[in-house]
Amino acid sequence: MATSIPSAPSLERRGVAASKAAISAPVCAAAAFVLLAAAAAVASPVWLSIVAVFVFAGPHNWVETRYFLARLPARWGRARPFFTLAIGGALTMTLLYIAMGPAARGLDLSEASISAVIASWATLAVVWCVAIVAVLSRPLGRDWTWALPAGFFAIALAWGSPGLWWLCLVYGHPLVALIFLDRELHRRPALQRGVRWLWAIVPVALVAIAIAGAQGESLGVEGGLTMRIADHAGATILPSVPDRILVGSHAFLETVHYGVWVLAMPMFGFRTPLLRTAGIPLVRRSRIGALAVAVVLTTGAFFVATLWVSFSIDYGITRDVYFAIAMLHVLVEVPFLLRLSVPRGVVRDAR
Amino acid sequence: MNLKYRVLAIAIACISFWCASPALTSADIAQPENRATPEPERRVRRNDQLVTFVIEASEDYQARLYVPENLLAADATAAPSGMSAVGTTVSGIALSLSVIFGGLWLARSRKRLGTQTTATAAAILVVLAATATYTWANASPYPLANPGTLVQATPTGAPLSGKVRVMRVSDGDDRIRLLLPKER
Repeated sequence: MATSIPSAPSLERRGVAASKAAISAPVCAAAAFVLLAAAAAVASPVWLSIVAVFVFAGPHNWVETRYFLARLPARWGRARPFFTLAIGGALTMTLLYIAMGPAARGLDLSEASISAVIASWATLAVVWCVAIVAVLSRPLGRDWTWALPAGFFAIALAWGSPGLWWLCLVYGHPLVALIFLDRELHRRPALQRGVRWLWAIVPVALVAIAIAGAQGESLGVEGGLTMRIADHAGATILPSVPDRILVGSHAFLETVHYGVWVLAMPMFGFRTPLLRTAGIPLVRRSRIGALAVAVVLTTGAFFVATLWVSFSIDYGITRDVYFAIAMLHVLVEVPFLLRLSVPRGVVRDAR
Repeated sequence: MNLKYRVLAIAIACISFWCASPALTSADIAQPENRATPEPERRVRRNDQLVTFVIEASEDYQARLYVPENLLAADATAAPSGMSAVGTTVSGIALSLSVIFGGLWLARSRKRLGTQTTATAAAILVVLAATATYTWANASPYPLANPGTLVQATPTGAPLSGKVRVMRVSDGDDRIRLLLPKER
């Protein structure tokens, strides 16, 4: 009986080919997704905005929750001040944000007063971020004073132009997902390099959307929903910019953001399968922790289903309510992002 | 010279530059005339004067309402600024503190970053600040008029025209309202 044993160079070539395929396939898929999103943003930005939020908004929040639960240590120990400030601050700021609208309407505030309220909320948010940087850095002996000039500059922008500050948040938030994905790909440096080259397409796509939007017609009247989508993208803050550019850019960035969380992070951002919670530290710690995680994830799944049903019934109102509540996930990302900047192995939590 | 005096010297230099930089900007926009606000009328006054009202399209991105002066009472107040007084004050203070603390941080980080890096970063910041000051110092204080949903009334063909009756009211509503009859 004769058996052929592959030679060492042949095995090596097969290994290289397999690793190249393992890198090129996800990168090509991601490139196709980004280019499709850009094409849809150019062709029909309102349609892309509606469909992307309808399909991906709820699931992306659920995946984010699952991700942050996996990153939450079982015992906070010396990091207790950080997590208390992070989670408590995010909840408080979200409640204040939700209360701003009804308070302004109830008190019949003027436009100048509303701008002052928004700027005050933004100032609180900046102070909260600076406090997080200080609480995270001081135990490690790292210099945190760089956050002071950055924070004061952000406050100056918030009071100088609250609308522009808000737009920075609206357009900057989708890019945060790219940073999370880049951090999670540190275990696969080759794939990380490929994905980093891919993200260079994003500004090119934005320029293409801007050029196409400047030459295209205005979005026109398609009911109040189009105006709300345009307002959310900054049409009232930047009336000199064609609404097609704003809606297209925002819809494209939101779609990329959803694509990262719903498609890429489940493949590369979790050490255990998405639906298996055994790897979550809180689950391993105690039965109460396991129950709490199960309740949070089950409630989240119920929220996703409710969101889809509500979108089907009344998309406009559901969208407004969703974006008000979704401020929580925007704020929660900040402390976790700052914590990622701490070198691995330096942060010691109580075991 | 020890570190404390160096930091103090840099902080004083930053503050001095920030105080002197407005002198380099252009501030040649005339102040709006302060006119006394008349007492609002407490009854509806009818004006039988008929005027022609035209809605037409333009290449401008702001909505404009041209009203002959003889139709307006001389009670125009100063145009509101694009930024409120509180916003301007807080923004200015925060910007100044940002520059001061940024300078202090650069001074403290000099040993870690190196003198060349610190000087380069400081030079870039100064250039950016000077450019921003030159760009925005001459900006109009008047807020940009947002046409809102008025753009839906923009005619696609010939301008629309007809007669309207001018009504002067003082019921607390500060909006200019154009009521159009239904098409018969």
